[in-house]
Amino acid sequence: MTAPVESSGDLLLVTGLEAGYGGAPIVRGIDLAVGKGMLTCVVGPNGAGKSTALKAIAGSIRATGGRVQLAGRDVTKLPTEERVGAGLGYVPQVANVFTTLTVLENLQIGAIRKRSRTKENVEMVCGIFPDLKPALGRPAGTLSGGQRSMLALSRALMADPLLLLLDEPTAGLAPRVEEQVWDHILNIQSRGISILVVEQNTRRALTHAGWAYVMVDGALASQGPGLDLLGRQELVDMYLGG
Amino acid sequence: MLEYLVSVLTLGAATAVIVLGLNVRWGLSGQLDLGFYLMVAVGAYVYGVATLGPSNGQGQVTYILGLRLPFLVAILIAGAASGLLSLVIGSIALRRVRGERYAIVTVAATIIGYSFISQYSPLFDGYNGIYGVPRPFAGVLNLSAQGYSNFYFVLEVCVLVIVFVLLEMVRRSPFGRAVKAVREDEVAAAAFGKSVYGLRLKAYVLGGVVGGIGGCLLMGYISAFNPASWSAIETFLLYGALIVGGTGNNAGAVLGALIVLIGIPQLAQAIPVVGNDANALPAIENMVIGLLIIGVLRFRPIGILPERKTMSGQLPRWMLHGSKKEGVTAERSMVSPTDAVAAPILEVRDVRKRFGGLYAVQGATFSVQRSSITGLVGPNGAGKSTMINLISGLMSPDSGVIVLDGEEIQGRPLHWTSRRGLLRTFQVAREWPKLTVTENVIAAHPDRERESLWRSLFARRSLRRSENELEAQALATIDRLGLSRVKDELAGSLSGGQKRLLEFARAAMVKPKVLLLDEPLAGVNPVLAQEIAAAVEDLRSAGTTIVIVEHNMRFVEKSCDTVVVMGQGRVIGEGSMAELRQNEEVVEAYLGSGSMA
Amino acid sequence: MGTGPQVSPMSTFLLGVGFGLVTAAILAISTVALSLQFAVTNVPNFAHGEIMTLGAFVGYSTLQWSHSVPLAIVLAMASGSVLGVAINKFILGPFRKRNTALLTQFVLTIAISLIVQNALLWIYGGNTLPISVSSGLPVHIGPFLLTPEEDIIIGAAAAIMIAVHVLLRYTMFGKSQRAVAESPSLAQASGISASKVITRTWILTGALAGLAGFVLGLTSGGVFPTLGFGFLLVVFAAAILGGIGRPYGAMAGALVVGVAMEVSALYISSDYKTSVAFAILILALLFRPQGLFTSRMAEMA
Repeated sequence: MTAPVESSGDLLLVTGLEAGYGGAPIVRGIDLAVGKGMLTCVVGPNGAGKSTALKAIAGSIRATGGRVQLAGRDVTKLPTEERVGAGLGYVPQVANVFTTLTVLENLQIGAIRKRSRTKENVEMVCGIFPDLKPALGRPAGTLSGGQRSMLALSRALMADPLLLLLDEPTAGLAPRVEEQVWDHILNIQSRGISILVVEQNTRRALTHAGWAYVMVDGALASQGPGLDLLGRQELVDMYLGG
Repeated sequence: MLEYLVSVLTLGAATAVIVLGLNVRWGLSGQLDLGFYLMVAVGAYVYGVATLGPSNGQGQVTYILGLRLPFLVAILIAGAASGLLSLVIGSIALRRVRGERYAIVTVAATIIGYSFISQYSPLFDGYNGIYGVPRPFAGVLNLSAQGYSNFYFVLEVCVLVIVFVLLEMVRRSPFGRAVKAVREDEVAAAAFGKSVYGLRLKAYVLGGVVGGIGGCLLMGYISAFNPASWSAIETFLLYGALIVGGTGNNAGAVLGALIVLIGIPQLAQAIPVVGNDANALPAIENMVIGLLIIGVLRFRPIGILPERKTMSGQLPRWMLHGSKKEGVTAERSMVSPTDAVAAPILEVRDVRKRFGGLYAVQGATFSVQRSSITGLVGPNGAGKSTMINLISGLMSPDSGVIVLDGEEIQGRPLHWTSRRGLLRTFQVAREWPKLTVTENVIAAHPDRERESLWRSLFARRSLRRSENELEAQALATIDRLGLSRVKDELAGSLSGGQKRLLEFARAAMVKPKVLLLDEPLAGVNPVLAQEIAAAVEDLRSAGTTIVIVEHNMRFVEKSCDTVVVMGQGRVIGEGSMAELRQNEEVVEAYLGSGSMA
Repeated sequence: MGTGPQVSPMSTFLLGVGFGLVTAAILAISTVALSLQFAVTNVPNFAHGEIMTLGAFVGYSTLQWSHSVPLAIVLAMASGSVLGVAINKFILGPFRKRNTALLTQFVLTIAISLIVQNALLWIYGGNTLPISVSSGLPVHIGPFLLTPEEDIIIGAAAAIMIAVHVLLRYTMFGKSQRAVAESPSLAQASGISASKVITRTWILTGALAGLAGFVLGLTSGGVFPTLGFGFLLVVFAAAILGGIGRPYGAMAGALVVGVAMEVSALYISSDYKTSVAFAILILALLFRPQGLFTSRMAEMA
């Protein structure tokens, strides 16, 4: 079980990350890396700190320790909007679309750092998610859960990100829709975008992940290729004690 | 020189009483009342009307009733009048609005009152106002002008001292503590059965009465009162005084009144350039006060004399994070011995709850045995938190039945279930930060009769006795939980782990039938987890049944007699952890279903 | 009014409506400003009236030495923007960064109101400084009786409403503003600098408030330090009626409150005009705080 080579080929390099919400740190020092074009997952039982870690990498909460490097550039001190400018795309778990804006406006906002590419990219995301096209003029609040997920992903894609951070993209979705979302994620990966996903459905995530991290109690308990981890009994123990 | 000083201080004493009244509303109760001066005005006007003799050459003015009541009677009547007005306004406003909305309602109401009084001449002669009000005891005593000034000053100081002492008594009483608890966190207060609306209303009325008394003192000094004296801006200046002096501290209120409302104008007059310009002077004074407010809020928000000596310099929590949810009123609380009866103490039958299109809980059924420690587990989104909220009364189920000790409780609000003996904790510790640890524990006690305003003033001896008993009980509980070292610290300054233990102390004080613990180990280190496990066992042996929502499986396995697993809004398993680990449905709920590919 | 042949109650009523339109016009500009600002900061600005007053005084001073109304308008708007940005940069912004409660920020705006109002009192004195701009004669336009200047005011307000609408719907600034108003964190996750959007919003709303203040001074015939403060609660009434934070609701609310005020003045003493607005405010806050047009509770705390 060796970590992926932490070379300059890594798109995202996180070292010694610590974060919390005031009081005791929830993320207590983790290292992770996402290679170019890879789909990497972070799984683990509840309360492990997965979402918190992702927020710290995205910049929506401040890391109390450690470093985050994106494409070789140290972004640790940058606010979220600057990280987006540096090539990061972030899809939070809740409130991930602007319900009072139309679908098209959501996309336009997503492209705000790459204004010149707006038109092209709208075409691009409509290509990936054909369902969006007829809905462009509708307020995003009228979309179904699955459609909102698609819009949330699209919004992040509008800025031509190098790396996508996804926080539980299938949360609250019906199983069939869950599958569709994963299809889309794999589709996006096939276009060369690297992805770091925090996912609740552990088995599914491990099936697709090129590399996976298991977080327990704020630290890394295990890591390895997804399929490797899938078969292990220790996984069950990490979740259910014993 | 002495003459001048006396006259300045006379004004100061009256103002101090007024600021003390504001301190009850804003300092003690946390209500941003921007129309407070209306109470002062009402007090002044009513006192004037009550003490005026029959027409003394002012022509036909309707308010001259010729009552010529003595000083004390007139003050009481005036105080009652402003109290009554407070009751009317408060019973409407406090039920329906909070925070900034409430503040805006108060300004609007005051300005309407102001417009009405200034324009409707028959009432108080409009803009002319009342004048010629006799000075108290002036006819009785035969004093020189200076002698009378001194007398009146002493009279005022007596009133000030009496009001101060009474308000201090209130502040330190169980009533005062309960009002502060509501101010700090009204959801937690409701969870412990306090009547949020009732406590707020009483504090509101009390503040109005004191303000009215202050108005009487003003009227007695100036003998005249008209709308020019009480525009909206006056209330803002009062806030300046209170914020500078120390919000929540009665001595601070007096100090602030003297410094800001007396001291600054005096200083300004002394500055040569400005002091002579009659127009610029008040403007500059008010600007300075405005700047002081901003400066104090930035650098020393608690004011010169903080509410508590041990407070740190930062903004108190209720000024830092407003609490949103409303608590509701409740009745008695329950303390019960254990019955070794077979019937479960808590039953949940086919409960459902929907949020928009999403079913958070869809047909969950389980029961909890008396005196057991039951774990409630399940992956995220399984519906555990919703279930706790449904049981405790923070939410109502769409359908289904929840039975507590034979009584149906579904749909009942938080404070109601709390009084039936069901207590819950919250994922985020909801301590009352500006009360000490000991006060937090004592305040948790469900006996609401002790927290009446009446008793705080008139039943002090019996209160003292019960306070002592409760304090002893509280200290014993605090000791058992290892918090003795911090018993006099403000709860807001405790570490996260200590706050958790404090929640247990409060629960122990209540001795509920059923205690719902919502993720008690979140963010807790292993040593503390041990202490919490011990505290849980302790509570169980005292007769409480405990339900714990937790993610920490080791803890659940060690501490719980039995475990209920929820998944996708249903109960998918019940039994021991060992059994559940073998249950494929349970495993799948945690690890997911895997790819269909 | 009232001379000549019988005047029907309906035509009296409509005359009142006409006057109401002028008030509503000024009110609309000011209320939209308040609503836009509230949408991104969530703090009702108690010093909003003072921004108006400042605009009125700056306009007045400009008129005194230049006699040019257009220039006075420009400077009134500029001064409003400057004050708005200053409030945000030096006071509200720093406290916001420290996560200060909205209620406390509200108290701060009260302090700002105290300072600005009294600064103006100090500089200009307490008397009403008359503004006289030559005014044409009232002319009947349909059922309304309005001077040409009043027609301009109503027309300008309508034009501004349209401009605001265009701004919000069709420019990226407007969309960014709506995005930040809904969710500052998601806006940041999309690459928007929320603080830049907030600053720009203050520039816009300050300018609008300054303009409204100056026009208010013109129609009142003079400026005085409490000009804006007296109007403040009327603005709140309109804003809350329309749903605070909703610019389109603000326009509707302004219309209702403005017309209600003037029409009521026909039937009860005009001294109570503003009390009518305050009564609407209180009733709205107590019974329908989300405004007439919203179906969900507007957040205000």
